[in-house]
Amino acid sequence: MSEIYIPKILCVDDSELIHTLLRARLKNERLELHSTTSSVDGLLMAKTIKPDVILLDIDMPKMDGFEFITRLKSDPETQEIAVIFVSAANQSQDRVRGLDQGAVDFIAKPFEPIELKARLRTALRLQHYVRMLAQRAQIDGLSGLWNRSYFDKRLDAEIEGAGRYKKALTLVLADIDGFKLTNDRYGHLFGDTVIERFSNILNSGRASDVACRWGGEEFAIILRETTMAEAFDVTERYRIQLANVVWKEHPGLVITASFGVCDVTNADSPLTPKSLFLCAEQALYKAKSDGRNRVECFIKKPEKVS
Amino acid sequence: MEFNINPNHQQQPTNRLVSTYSGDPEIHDLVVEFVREMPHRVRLANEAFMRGDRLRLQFWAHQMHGGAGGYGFLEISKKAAILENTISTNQPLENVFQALLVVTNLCERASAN
Repeated sequence: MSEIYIPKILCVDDSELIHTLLRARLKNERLELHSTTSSVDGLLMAKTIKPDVILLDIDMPKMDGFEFITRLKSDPETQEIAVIFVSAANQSQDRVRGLDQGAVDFIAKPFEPIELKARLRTALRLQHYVRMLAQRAQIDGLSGLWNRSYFDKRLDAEIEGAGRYKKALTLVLADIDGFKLTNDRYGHLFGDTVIERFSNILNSGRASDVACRWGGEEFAIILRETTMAEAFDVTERYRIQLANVVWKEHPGLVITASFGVCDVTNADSPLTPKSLFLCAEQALYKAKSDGRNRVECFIKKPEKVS
Repeated sequence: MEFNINPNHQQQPTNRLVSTYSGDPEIHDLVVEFVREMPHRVRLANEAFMRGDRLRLQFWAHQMHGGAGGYGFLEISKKAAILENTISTNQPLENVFQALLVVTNLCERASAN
């Protein structure tokens, strides 16, 4: 069951009167409201809270709304956050400047509550569509898994996170055995069915696992906070599930896959996305050369002591 | 030039300025609270003026400019904008004084019902 998403709003305004008013006006809306009277704190909160929309005042001490939005939009971590200026500075040049700097809307103070809610809902809807489109661009059409472009970015981020927080991380590469032969013998439509079925298996794991179609019949799964031993068990289950699939189009047919596994502690140094990938790939080659339909782990060779 | 302001002076509300949100249940309590705190706000503004603290007074005017309208006192908001402008454009003290009198007079007339 999917969780109901509660949008997050951050209000940055130097007037406590406005925060009190907004809390009252938005209390019955399905959203999470955060607020600060300091624009400097607001930038930090934008990074940690990752709000969907920021309601931003213009005239504030230390850093005004224009400088705030410039910094927000120049930071890759916060540039996608929608900004609505809410300001008593109601000159048209202020509105134009705000919109030119990336704001999605401008609400004049004092605001009509109905208008505020309607504009906020519109901004949230727009934000939802933007995120949906961005996500769709990263999803493989046939398998429904993340695509390679997403995988590359995600592996970079996960390796950096695992290094920083000393967390386990394992990469699994998978390749459907004899897929070209299956395609040639049973047709490409059936080949697509195999891809879809295997993708469903890979996608049935934990919510934190990141399953991607790397290309053709090759797949990659990033297992967060997972040791190689744990990853081996997970991968064995995937292997067995695929081998046990009964293909109603071709009863008796057995389709298998080979898997290569490597974690961050066994990958060649220095640890990079490429080194982890290459080590998992070596394990995959071994699985293939040792007879397919198996899971192989890449174990670092012990260093020689002279 | 002398400016005669008694920070503790409270004008008798003869002509009430009723909040346009007086019947709005969503913020009725807030409006009551806003009006209840008005004498304190007026005192702060007068004190800032008497001390010659233009920055404090400008901040006060800015807050009233941005906030009062939301509580149903658009007129206070508009006059506070004028006061804010007289300070930010470094107008003579007499102009600031006159603008402050207009705002505080409206504030003293504010009523939730």
